[in-house]
Amino acid sequence: MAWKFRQERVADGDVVEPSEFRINTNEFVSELNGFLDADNVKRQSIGNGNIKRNTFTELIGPDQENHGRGESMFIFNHQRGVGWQDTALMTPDRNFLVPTEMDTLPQHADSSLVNAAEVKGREIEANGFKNLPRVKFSSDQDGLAIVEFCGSVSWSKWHYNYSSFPDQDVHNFLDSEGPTIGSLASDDLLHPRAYQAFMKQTKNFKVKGMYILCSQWRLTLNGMSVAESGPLGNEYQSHPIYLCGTAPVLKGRENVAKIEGRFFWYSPGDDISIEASGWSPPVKGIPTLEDFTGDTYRRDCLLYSVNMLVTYRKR
Amino acid sequence: MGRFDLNLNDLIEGQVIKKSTLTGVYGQLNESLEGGIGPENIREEGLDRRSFENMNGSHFVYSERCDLRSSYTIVPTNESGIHPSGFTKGPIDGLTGSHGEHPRVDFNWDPEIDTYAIVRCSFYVSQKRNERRYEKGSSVGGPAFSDAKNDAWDFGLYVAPKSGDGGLGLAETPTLAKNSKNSGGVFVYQRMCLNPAFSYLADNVSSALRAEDGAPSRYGFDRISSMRQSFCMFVVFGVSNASSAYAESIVNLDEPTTVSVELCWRARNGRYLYLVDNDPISDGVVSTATKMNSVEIENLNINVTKYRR
Repeated sequence: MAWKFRQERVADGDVVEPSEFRINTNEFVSELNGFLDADNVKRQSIGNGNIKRNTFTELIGPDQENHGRGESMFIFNHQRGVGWQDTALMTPDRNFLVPTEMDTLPQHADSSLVNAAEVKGREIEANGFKNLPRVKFSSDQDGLAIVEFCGSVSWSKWHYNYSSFPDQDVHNFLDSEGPTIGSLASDDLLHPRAYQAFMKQTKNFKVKGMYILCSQWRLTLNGMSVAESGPLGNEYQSHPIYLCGTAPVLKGRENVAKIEGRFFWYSPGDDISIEASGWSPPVKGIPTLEDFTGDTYRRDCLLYSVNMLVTYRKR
Repeated sequence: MGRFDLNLNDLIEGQVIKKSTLTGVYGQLNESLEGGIGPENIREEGLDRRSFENMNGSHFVYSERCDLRSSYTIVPTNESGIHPSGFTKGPIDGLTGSHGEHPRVDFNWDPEIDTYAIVRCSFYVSQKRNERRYEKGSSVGGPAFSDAKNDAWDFGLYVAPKSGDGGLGLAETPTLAKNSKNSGGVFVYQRMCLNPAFSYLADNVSSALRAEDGAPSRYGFDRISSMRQSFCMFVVFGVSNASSAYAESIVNLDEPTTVSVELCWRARNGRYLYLVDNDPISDGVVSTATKMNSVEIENLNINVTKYRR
């Protein structure tokens, strides 16, 4: 509470003049304009009815444009740039290339499903890259922002490169573990690309020089990283992710909190990383199946069932 | 109230001073103070909890209930009845049976005083190979050891239907929430499953192919379905007129009610590991549960934090 003094003094016999009353009252009332504190009020006198919502805490989530709800799934197909990405291909309903049906079919068995997959894939591609979940908010006060994100990460069975439809690499989309193809057991077909890791066979220490496809995630607030994961390999086909970070926010700013991801090949033995968008190590040595020419260990990463929240604490 | 400006337009030089002109100052103040104090009026860090009215032992920010349990066990079950009764089919009831309460939190919601609520749930899941595959006392035989592979588990937060009348329109069945934020259902879920190179493919040797191919999985360790993950997820509730910025991720609650949020699960064995289904939690069916291991859920914490103003 600030010290307040009477600004205008009046005495008996003075002419009454409105500004004297106005100035003195304003001096008292000015306390209400940003200077109220515990010294001004009686103990336990402020109730819910006195205070506006969002005075002390405001919870803000992504708006519709930024796909904050869980029904969207984001597809990272390594086609876009390097480094941290805040956009991805997106399918709104996770009905992902009719996966249930395709999963039980042998490769190339049903052209209608191939066509359906292609149609779906082209739809997704036509939608273009969408924002990953992000929260925009204006800070009318200095305060603290607590940014939280939860979701699931999976490594796809497919590699999404629609430009390859339909002439080549259809198997990229139909990498099924169904019945046998020719003389090869289906598991043999699947196995080389089950684990997205590459060991150069000309090396003496193959494991040491092995590159593993990894994802990494971070939360940023106004471009500054507030929480960041380490490289997460694909030893788990699916795994949860949760990040939480805090940072101060300043009065009078427009703020943006984002989830961002990056994807790279990481060699734990050599501590070297290579951007996934720049390297697609080939699968070799399956001579009996021509389709595999040009196949790669690289697979897409999926982010889904997301939820994001900014808790804006002020005053 | 924002910035308070004194209105003394009636007080004019040369005019008669009315009593109401002076008393009106206090009327203006009273009107502004009633529900009008906002951040513009309060000095930064100027108030502490001594200033606030005590409401049932709590103030503007509080956690209504916090559950910390040492462990749960889920033994997968399915329609075939291989497991004894006591484990009901379905994602919600799967956590009941002989293991006591649901991991859930209930809280009262009064939109007059409550503005937001966050329900957070975190826990640690451990699936060990071939342990607790069968209910105790069961003499039913099980699958071969090598079948216990390729397990996948989903855990999600299910906003249960409102009990009693005055319905909020929340979902009656635990389906994945989509499109309408008021429909209830499972709002977030998280999944764990191993890469097949460390599970069902690890012992499927075809050395001729692998040697040429350089497949790294031939060096992989066969973990069957032994896996461990930490899960953490949240769902947010709020009155619809509190802010315009959060429209898509906050469940609106504009009527007084009691809200229940439960942890639900779904498990699969088989090709599920690759799939991101359209509606992954809704069926709750363990498709080939006879081949699955149970999981231990440890250090489960589910709680609600309310923000009133």
